[in-house]
Amino acid sequence: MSAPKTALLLNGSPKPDGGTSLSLGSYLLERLEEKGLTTQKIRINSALVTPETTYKLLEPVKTVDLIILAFPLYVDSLPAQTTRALQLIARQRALQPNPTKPQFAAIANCGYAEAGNNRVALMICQRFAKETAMEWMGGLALGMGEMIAGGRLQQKGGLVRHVIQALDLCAERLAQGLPIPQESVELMARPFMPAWFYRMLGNRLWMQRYGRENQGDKIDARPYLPENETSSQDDDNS
Amino acid sequence: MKAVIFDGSEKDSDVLSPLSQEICDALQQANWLTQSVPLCEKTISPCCGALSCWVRSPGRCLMPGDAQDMAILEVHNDLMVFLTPIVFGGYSAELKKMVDHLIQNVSPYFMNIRGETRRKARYPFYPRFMAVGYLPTPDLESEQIFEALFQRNTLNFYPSQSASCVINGYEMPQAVQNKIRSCLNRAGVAL
Repeated sequence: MSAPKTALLLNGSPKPDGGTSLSLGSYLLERLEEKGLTTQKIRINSALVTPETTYKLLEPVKTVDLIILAFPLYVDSLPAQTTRALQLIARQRALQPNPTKPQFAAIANCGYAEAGNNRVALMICQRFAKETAMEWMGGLALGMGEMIAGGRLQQKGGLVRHVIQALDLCAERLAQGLPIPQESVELMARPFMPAWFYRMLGNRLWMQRYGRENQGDKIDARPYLPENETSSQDDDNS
Repeated sequence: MKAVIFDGSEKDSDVLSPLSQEICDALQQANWLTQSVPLCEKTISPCCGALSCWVRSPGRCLMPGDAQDMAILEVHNDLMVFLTPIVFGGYSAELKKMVDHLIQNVSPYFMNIRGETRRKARYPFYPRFMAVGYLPTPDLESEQIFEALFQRNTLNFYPSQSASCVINGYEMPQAVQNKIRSCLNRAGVAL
């Protein structure tokens, strides 16, 4: 394993502000920059718009030494556009006569309390690396991702100390061309608070957001309930 | 009884057509009404993660295109089938663009199910759930990832019954038919 000189962050968050994925990925990229790597960031959803913008995503992948994919968990796996990007990268590499062998690492985060929900998504990332002959450097999984919700990690205070430690350790190893250490995986997976408290807090925050943004429907509305079941639903509510 | 088959084939690929036909034939023989939806022909913008479908318009995605119609199909059918080429062990991007929008059919509220955080169900009933993955060649690792993903999905989709299977390109037609029928049976379809 050789030490990478260049790193590319692929941000898989569909949110325009990049969300938690960008916070985590950017922090890691900054640490790698401090260690002398030349870095670049690409937002996948902005890239997969036209052939020209897609080219701007695919071209750096041909030459970069280390790719870091940061993404939120969408229905138990990678968001659709992130999957699409991986499919395009795989197709490109299959057509290349002598593709390079970049290193590939992933950071997944989810809104559920348990970091373990990201496990299958990271298995998919590992499998992608295998099928495209990239070098799998490991994956980090974060639960309660909404606790970060975008912005710079450094400004989040003591709450994210273990996340920062995890990424510092991760940067240390990746900069040397070594896989993500287990200690980093465990630090990242450490919950911010007990799961029961997160659920209670989360439900309260959803209620508040609903109060601010709602346009009239109940939060537990069932707009697609088949007609033959609507009447019994109405009875329930009366 | 009604079934919807969400076909996650890539554009210009008909490799899943025989499987879709096999599922439809088996269901129709059991007197089910079937609808196959080639997702590559639908206009489904990627879910933008705004979660407006949980707060601004609870239960409804307001993005233009077919995302809302696909979510309606989930609620209005007795069986939902995901048919997909297996991509890195998971679903194709074509299927996933639809799946990402199914969150409008659950509530934003958390609950604890057997020690794990999940979203509460929005509807009193959800369809039975079946996933059929296709691999050009046998590949145990991909099959295992696919099965693991399917199992996670069953926790979120609240099906009364569910089953998955993987078909590979080397299997003979009779074996494919048997596998699909067995899968339908396990998903609660009496054939």
